[in-house]
Amino acid sequence: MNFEIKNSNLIEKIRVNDMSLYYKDFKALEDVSIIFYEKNITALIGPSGCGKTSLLRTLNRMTDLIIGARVEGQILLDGVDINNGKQDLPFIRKNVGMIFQKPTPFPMSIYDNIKYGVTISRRIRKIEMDEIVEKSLRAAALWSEVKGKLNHSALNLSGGQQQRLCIARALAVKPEVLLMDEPCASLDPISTMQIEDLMRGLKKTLTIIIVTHNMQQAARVSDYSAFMLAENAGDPGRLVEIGKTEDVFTNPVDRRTENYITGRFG
Amino acid sequence: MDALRSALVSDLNKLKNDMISMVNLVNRNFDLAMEALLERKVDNINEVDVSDEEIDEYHIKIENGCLKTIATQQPVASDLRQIIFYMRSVIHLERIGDLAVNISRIAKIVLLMKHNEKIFSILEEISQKVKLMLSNLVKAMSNNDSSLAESIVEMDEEVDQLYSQVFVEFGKIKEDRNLMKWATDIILVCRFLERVADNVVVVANRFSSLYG
Repeated sequence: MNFEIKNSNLIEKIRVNDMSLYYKDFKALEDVSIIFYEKNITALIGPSGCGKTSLLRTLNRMTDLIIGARVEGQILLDGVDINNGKQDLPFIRKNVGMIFQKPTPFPMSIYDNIKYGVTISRRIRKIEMDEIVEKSLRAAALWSEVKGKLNHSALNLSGGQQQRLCIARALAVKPEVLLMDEPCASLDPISTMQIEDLMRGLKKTLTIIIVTHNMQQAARVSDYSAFMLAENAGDPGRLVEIGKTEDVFTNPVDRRTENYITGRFG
Repeated sequence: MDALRSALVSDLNKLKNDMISMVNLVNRNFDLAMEALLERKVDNINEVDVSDEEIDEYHIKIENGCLKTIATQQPVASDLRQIIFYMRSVIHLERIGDLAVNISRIAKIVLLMKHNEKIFSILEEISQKVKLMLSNLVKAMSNNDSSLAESIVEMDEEVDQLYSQVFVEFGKIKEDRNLMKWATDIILVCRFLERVADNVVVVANRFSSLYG
């Protein structure tokens, strides 16, 4: 099956070619080929255990942290294979940021949370750092809520604010791709809407890939949706279908996609 | 497998049952109206009026059911398309109901008038075709038969051809004033029948694309 989307206006940001992922002997993903387009939001959907998060984690080599994890095939970021041995890992992680399911603020001030990632890559003057903090918090739609308490602990923020702080922290190092692994799973509906609204704003400059179990969220927020499935327990996850979100949610091509999104199987 | 979304499946089943009840009622009302006209069954006229109110109630009930299901169950893909089919089709079914009422009213007017055999036989022929289209729609929707729905679309052309024949015959009787009044009313009935056929075609087309 050809998973390329025909649209000459789209620019490839990440291309995954025949990628398989192993955790020791277990094959978690098989022959996944997918293109993520620049300045678009792509949602990865599918039942638990189909490899959505695993696929997401391969895109900035988070799988390097897992003992026994091995990737076959190619993952091209702007045309360069991130697994070719010559790529600088901090460079990849800077360009491809990640937001996790549960907000993960560091136990330090709001200001220092933002500063942390930026100072890993370079030294920076206080005045410039102030600008980066403000800009990042504004981009994450959090500035107006925290501008008077930048030195307060990030742990005192609400769940939704903590998640937006994590987004601000990721944005501070100016990534080009943002990976979001169920970013709203632990948030209330208002915070969820704020994050979704934020995502729509961020895609003007960023490529976003989101894993979500919330079908309505995928339908609301993404431009493209990819359905993944591991047919039976123990099978590797495979990509079943990718298409424009409006097509996938109104008239999916594959019967398995139809069955999943209409709740015929879970 | 449907158990995962039992509330949605239950809503969809209720909507489908109401749709089939509505289309059956529309079919029956159309038959009553045509009997009133062609077989001079005047008692049918009142019954058509009463049943039309029931058709209007189904229209509102199904539309509200669709809105409720969209709001509470967030259906997608074939489920969503099915609901949109119901929402749009009820409008056409309700129109067929209104046209049946119009025909039954004309039946009352032309009851004792002098008539023309040729025009009357064309009217009967159109009536039979439209009746078949409508009853096939009922069967197609009851049995999820998209090929039967497709065949309805082809029958519409025959209705259009017969409709134009009526005008040819009308031209031949223009000097008989008494007959003219009857013929003018019957042309109106033919126009209503042609519109019934068009509405049936719209529903049949949507149905066949939904299940085809």
